[in-house]
Amino acid sequence: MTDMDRETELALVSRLRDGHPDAFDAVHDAFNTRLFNFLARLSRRREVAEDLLEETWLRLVSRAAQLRPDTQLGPWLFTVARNLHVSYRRSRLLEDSHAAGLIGLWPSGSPQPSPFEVAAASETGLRIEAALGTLPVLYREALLLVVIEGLRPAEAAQVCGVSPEAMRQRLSRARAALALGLNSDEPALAVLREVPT
Amino acid sequence: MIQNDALLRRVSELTVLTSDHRRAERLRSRCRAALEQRTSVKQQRLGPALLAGVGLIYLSALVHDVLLLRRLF
Repeated sequence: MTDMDRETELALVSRLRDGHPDAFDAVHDAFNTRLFNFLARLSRRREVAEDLLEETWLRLVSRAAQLRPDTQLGPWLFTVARNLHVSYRRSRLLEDSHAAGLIGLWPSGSPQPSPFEVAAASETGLRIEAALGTLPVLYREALLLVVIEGLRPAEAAQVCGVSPEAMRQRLSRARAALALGLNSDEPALAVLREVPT
Repeated sequence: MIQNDALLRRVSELTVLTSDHRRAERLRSRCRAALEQRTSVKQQRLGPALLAGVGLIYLSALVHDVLLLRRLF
């Protein structure tokens, strides 16, 4: 999860516009994992996330020459990824309530999670992951962009094509819905739910 | 906002998921090749354009000289 300063970002955009492959490598290194996490949690299907991730990078390559010199790579890439997911949902008429395949999220190239990954995914984490998966897409994407990927609310608003005020409302409602979705029988989660927004 | 909220902080600490490494590397190679190809195509287009520009300058200098000679004689 690499954050780059603005000067580095502008230099990378300039080199991308000129078609330098090393600039692509740098952008790929900085954003590939972040985009995959966003798409995997948005689509809740590993294969779909991999496909959309690939398409996102191909879009960057095909449109590199048309990038504006002041392009912000993070919001640009997340916008493309999100729009691809919207198109995918439209084309497949994916039902939002269909919550299968959470297990399919777990990394990496192997079909089974590694012991480290199993240990890292705590019980609370899995519960939150499941609750996140049941949120409506509009709320889920707001939380993913701001809370997990660290975009500023204004940037997330730009990615989702809404006003900053609308994004703040979505975030607030998403947080409330997430808290509601957590199981009240779990003491650890009950503590989390009691924290005001 | 996130740091002051235990629930959101916990969400921000969820396990980082990783994409298929081999597939990512294949894609990276494909993208690099596409960029390199585009750059070389751009350079290939630049060559004839440069030649045409130089030719145009030569031709206009030639016309200029011919007109100058006609005026003198």
